[in-house]
Amino acid sequence: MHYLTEKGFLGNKGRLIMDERLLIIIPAFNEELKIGTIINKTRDMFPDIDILLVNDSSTDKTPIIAKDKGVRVISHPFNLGYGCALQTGYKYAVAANYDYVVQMDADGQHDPQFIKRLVDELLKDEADLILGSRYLDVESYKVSLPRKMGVVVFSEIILWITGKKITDPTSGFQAMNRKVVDLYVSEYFPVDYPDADIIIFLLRKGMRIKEIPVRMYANNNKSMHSGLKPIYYIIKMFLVIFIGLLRYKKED
Amino acid sequence: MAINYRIISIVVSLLFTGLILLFVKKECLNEKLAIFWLSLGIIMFLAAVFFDSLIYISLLLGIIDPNNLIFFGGIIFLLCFCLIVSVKISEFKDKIKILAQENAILKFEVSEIKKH
Repeated sequence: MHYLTEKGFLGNKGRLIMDERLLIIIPAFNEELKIGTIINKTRDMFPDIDILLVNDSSTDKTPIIAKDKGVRVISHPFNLGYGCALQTGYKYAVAANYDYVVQMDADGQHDPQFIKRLVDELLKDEADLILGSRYLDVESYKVSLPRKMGVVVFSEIILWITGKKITDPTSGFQAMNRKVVDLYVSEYFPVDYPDADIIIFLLRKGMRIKEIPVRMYANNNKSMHSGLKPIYYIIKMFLVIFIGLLRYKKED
Repeated sequence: MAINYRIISIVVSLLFTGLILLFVKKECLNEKLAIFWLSLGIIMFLAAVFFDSLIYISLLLGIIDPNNLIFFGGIIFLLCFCLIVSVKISEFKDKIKILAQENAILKFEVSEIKKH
């Protein structure tokens, strides 16, 4: 059993908590070049925290490297997508009864040293979900103009629907408490790329979301924002948000 | 209608119905879908035998050529069927996703238990 104490996370209202547990979830698909460094860095900084690598059926050595480093590895039987890999992690967190979850990408975009800031912020209990925003941090890499425009549009949509300003809805660097994890394991969680739709869903369910600046690094080998994918993605986002609005209205 | 065309239509509809029965016998097709396809086979057969009534129906609908009624009906039917199949595929995809996730988690938990 690993606890949140000693290594210096702040507890509720500044006090240390004795019996609460934290899980770091890293979804990974073919990241053999980077995964070792990420795990080492995270381990060095938080030796007592459980790390779970969700291997989305990688065809390279990713799961072997992770197992050698001694982290928990859950492997999908076939490729299910980034969102699914995250959700498997949440489902495990619920099954193993963790109180807090941090999620971080395996591709080197996120710097593990910011985990502490995310968790410290979360443990103040002023928000249920802490988003690491690259746009609040001046030194983060500059994203391409079309991408930036997309983010601004979805940011405005969230503001318009929920009245809350979120600068980086695509951020995969998050810390959350159990209330959010319990919502993330629901069927509404998107299988490919979680985005503005899930943020709107959380806000409508009354979750408190706070953003803090984190440093993110450019990642050149991702295929997500190339070819026709951004177009598919933007159309999908509008559709999902629209359908989402109809859905929640029915439930309310 | 030319007698050849009528004979071909009747033979095709009978073959179609026979194929469905064969699939049901071999258990390739579940009962729910079998009933659906069988009724289509019967409709095809009836349309081939009583072609004159098709002419009557198309005139009622304002369609001059009864063949157009068949094409129109066929396309609508296939479209609806494709839609239903898409819905089913989405459903299965969701179910497979849940199964795969649970299977992955259980596998991990079993390996943890075996370690101790």
